[in-house]
Formats: sequence, C-alpha cells, structure tokens
Amino acid sequence: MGRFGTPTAVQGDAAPLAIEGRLTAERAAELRAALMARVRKGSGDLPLDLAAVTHLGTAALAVLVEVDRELRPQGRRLRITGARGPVAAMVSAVDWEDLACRRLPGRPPQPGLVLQVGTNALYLLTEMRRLFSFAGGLFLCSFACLLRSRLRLAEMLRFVDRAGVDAVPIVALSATLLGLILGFLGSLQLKPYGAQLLVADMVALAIVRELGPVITSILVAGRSGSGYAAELGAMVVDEEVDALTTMGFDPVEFLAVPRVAAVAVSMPVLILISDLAGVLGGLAVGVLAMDLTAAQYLEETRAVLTLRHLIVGVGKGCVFGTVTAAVGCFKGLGVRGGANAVGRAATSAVVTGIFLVILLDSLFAVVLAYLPF
Amino acid sequence: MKPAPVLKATNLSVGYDGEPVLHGVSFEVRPREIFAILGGSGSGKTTILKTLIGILPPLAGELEIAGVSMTRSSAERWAQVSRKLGVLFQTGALLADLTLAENVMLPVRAQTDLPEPTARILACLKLSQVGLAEAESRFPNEISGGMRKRAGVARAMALDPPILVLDEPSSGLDPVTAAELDELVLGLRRDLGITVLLVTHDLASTFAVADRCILIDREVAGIRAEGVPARLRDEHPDPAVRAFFRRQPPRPDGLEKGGPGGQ
Repeated sequence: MGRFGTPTAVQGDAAPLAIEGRLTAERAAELRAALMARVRKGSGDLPLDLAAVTHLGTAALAVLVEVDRELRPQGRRLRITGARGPVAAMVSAVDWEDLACRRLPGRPPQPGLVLQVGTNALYLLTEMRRLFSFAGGLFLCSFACLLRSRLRLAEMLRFVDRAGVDAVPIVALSATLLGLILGFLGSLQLKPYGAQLLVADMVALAIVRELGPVITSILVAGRSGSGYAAELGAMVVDEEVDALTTMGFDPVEFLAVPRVAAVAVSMPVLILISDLAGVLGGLAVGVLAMDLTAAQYLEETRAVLTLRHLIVGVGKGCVFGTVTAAVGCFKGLGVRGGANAVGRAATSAVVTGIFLVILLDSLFAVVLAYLPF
Repeated sequence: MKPAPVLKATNLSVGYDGEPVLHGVSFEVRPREIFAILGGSGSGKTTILKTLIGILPPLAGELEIAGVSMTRSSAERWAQVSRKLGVLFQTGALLADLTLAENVMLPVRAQTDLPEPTARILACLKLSQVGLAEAESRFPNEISGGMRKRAGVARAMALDPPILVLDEPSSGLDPVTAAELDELVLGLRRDLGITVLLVTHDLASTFAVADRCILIDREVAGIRAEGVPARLRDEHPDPAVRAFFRRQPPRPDGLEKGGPGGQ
C-alpha cells in the first residue's frame, strides 16, 4: 500500500504531494482530506505527482476533479504530472475544462408555486371528468350485462368471497368496539341524569344510521378499493389490459363490473353485521357498567329502531361501498407508468374513496332531512 | 504459471429450500476473462446467478471469490466481497425515484465516506464513461431500455469492482442496442481490465464477447458443456449442444430430443 507524503517545512506547499500505490475507492476519502488541506493552506497552482501511482480508481479521479473545481474560482489549478500508462489514460479521458465549470447534476428544478397550483387544479378537473365518465360507463355497462345476462357469476362470487366474506371479522370487530366506545361515553353523560336506558337508543341510532355504514365503507375502501387499484394497476403495467382490449373484451365490463358488483352485493350483509355487532357492543357496556338487563336494553333498542332507519343505513352503505369499489377500479385502470404508479394509485384509491364516503354522507344528511321520511 | 481464478466454483449445488436446481457445478473464471453462463429458459441461470452474488446461499460445494471462500461465510464477509462485485440486473433495477446520477451515487454512499459533491462528480464520470453524460438528471422512466441498461452498468461499476456480473444484459433490447452494450462491455474490459461474468441466453451476444462459457441444462441438472462458444457450436460431440449453439430446436427423430432448450 502506498501512502500520502506529508509536506515538510523545507518542501513548503509548492512541493508536489507525493502519492504512491493503488488509489482505490477505499483510499479516496483519505486522498481528499490530504488534498483539501493543501487547497486551504496553499496559494498558487497545486502540483500533484502521480509517477508512483499504479492504479487510479474512478473515486480518486472524482476527488481530483473536485479539488480542481475548488481551486479554479481562486484562479488556481491542479497540475498533474508524471502519470503513466493506465493512470495517464484515466486522467486524459476526463474533460477537465467541462467538469471544472459545469453545474453538477442535480434534481430537475421544482416548478414555482403558481405553476404547481395551476397544474394540480387542472389535473383535479380532468381527473373528476374522467371519474364521472368512468362512473357513467360502468353504470351503463352493468345494466347491459344484467339485461343480456352477461354477468360472469362465478367470477363475481369469487370477488364476493374476497371483498365480503373475508371482511366479516374486521367489520364485526370494528363495529363492536365502536358500540363499546359509544356506550361507554354515553353512559358517562347520561348516568348523572338517571337516563342510562337512553344509551341503548343512542348507540342503536348512531350505529344503524351513521357509523355502521360509514365504518364499513371505510374498511371496504381500505381493503377492496386499494386492492382493486393495485391489482388492476399491475395488470395495466404488465399490458394484460391491452391484451384484453385487443382480444375484443371491454376492460370495464371484464374487470371492473364483477368487482364493483361483488362489493355492491356484499355491502348490505356487511352493514347488517356491523349494525348487530355495534348494538352488541353497546349491550355489553349496558349490562356490565350500567346495571341494565339484556332484555331491557334490547327492548329499548327494538323500540327506537324503525325499518326506516335500517333502510336508510343499508341504502347509504350500499352507495358508499359501490362508490369506493368503483374508485378503486378507476384508479387502477388509470395507471400510467411503472411500479410506483401502482402504489400511488392504491393510495389515491383509499384517500379518494374515504373522502367521497364522507362527502356523500353529508349530502345524504341534508337531503334526508328535507325528505318526508 | 496460470493466474489464480477470480471466481471458482467446485461441486456447487444451488437451489431453493434444500431442493437443488443444479448440482455438481464446477468452473473457474480467470482474470480479465469474459465468461458466459448459458442456458435455456428455466435452466437455472438465475438461481446460479443469485448464489454467485450472495443472495442465495449454496446448498453444497465450494465457492471462492477473489481468493476468499464464500461457502459458509458470514454476512460481513459477503459485504466485503460484494465490493468486488458489480451487478447489472436484468431490468437495470434502477430506483425509480432517483435520477440516474443519484442511482450511480448509491454504492458510493453505501461503501465510502466520500462527501456528496465528490460522489456527484464520480457519477458524472461514470455516466459519461457509458455514454450517458447528457442524461444525468433524468429519471429512469424517462429514458429508453438501452439507456437504462447503460445506467445500470454505470452504477455497477461506480466503485471500479474487478468483477462485473451481467444478468441477461440484452433482454428487451433491439439487436443494435444489444450490440452497443456488447461493445461497452468489451471496452470496459479493455480500459479497466475487469473480469466479466455474463449470464444469458443470447447467443449473438455470447459469440460476440465471451471468451469461454458453460452451458447449463435442467435435464442433467448441471453443466452440459464447457469451452469456447464457437468451438462448442462446431466441434462438441453432443448433438444437443451443437443444436443449442446453432439455435436449432430439438429434432423430432429424438436424436436431440430434450436438448438444452432450443432458442
């Protein structure tokens, strides 16, 4: 192994730095430190004798270029002498003039704030237009499938299994916990007034009308919406969707309709399960923490719940679930690019899906308030 | 005296979960040699490649890289030896979120203490070496497949490893671009004196660059032939081997049936 000569008082800074041996990547940092010290201390050109260097690696060469770049603004230069054989070839292969003055490669500059806002607004508009046209296409296509009984039932049942049956445990657990929380908070508020029994009313109404459908739809957006986006996105990237199109299939009919239909069919059942689980959660609090009997609690629940509440809840949930599944398919089929575009599509499917659920729920709240039921 | 081999496999068995795909594989790669591992689709090329670059542990046998035994070696030893290996993956395997220059800087960041400006200059040097000086700030999805392979070579060569491993470098490239990549590999060997291990099923590329090769085959679960590609094509006693090198499918009379997958 070689070493880097240390300048002595006699040699002064003008003497060439003596370097020997193989300048590999491992030694590049050491070389850089030695040279940079000379750049800071010395004045005038920096001589460098490479006569004893047998190998010059690219990392060491990059250090030399960097030193030269440091020197030039001060009107100084790196003067390389004595390079022989492959070392000379490495040195002469570099365009020193170009590398000394050019900007180093960086990230392409970020567009300004106004440009970004404008671009994003335009993107949002086109995306919304595409979403509406996709929704319209999906709607028409589903009807056409139903009328001509072209719905691929076996395929759809497979998706019902994945989107519906597999979702039952997580939906039931989440709804139970939600019922427990509501019951517990309600009991704290109502107990001082001796109105414990009203906890049953509160839990039943909140779960059946609002929280059951919303939490189920959010879970479906997270499970199926993102799953569909990733699945279909990967199919786009692998050109499977193009293959289907060239074979004469409509990708929306072939891929999106069975998936969305499966969610639409599963939603009522999932919501009823979440309603039941939520009420049971409330019941647990009522019985364990508020000295109510199960019969009292259930009788109160039965009295407050009407068929209307149940229909509103299940109906809303079906709309929410169908929308989140459709958004998942839309985002998946809209993938352009490679693997990271698939990831973005999955994220976007969940975010858009959940946002639309909340938006639609507020619309429902207003509209239902003015309707006679 | 024969120079010590850069890479030496002795009775190597490779496979997954204890199930060997290939066994009894023995070969030597000499310094400054371009050595090809050939085989049809599904012959175990990728499996042996994964073993040679330390992703998949060998099931049995000996593997020596740069004179260091790798058979039962620790992760630290592999990390040390991995500095001696530069690997170009089949699709280039460039990180999509990083520019080409930043991709080339990755091994510099991982294995040296050099600060960022030096690493950036190094990336410039390497990218201009593979003819991509203009594309430094582009992202991988903005460039062609051939350019991606070149950028992959630049990244693999960032720290001047003595061994360059290429996994199916010509896959997905047009013949002209593939030939340009062959030229690049020959140029790197000439200028930097590196050893190249080429894993491929591309015969044109093998004839153009490889000094020696082995042909691996699922049927014998090991090496079917070893030697200089042109001589294997013309002189090898096994008709199936000659047929492979001539891109002929196995003959229906059964004479060369079950050959190593005609291309």
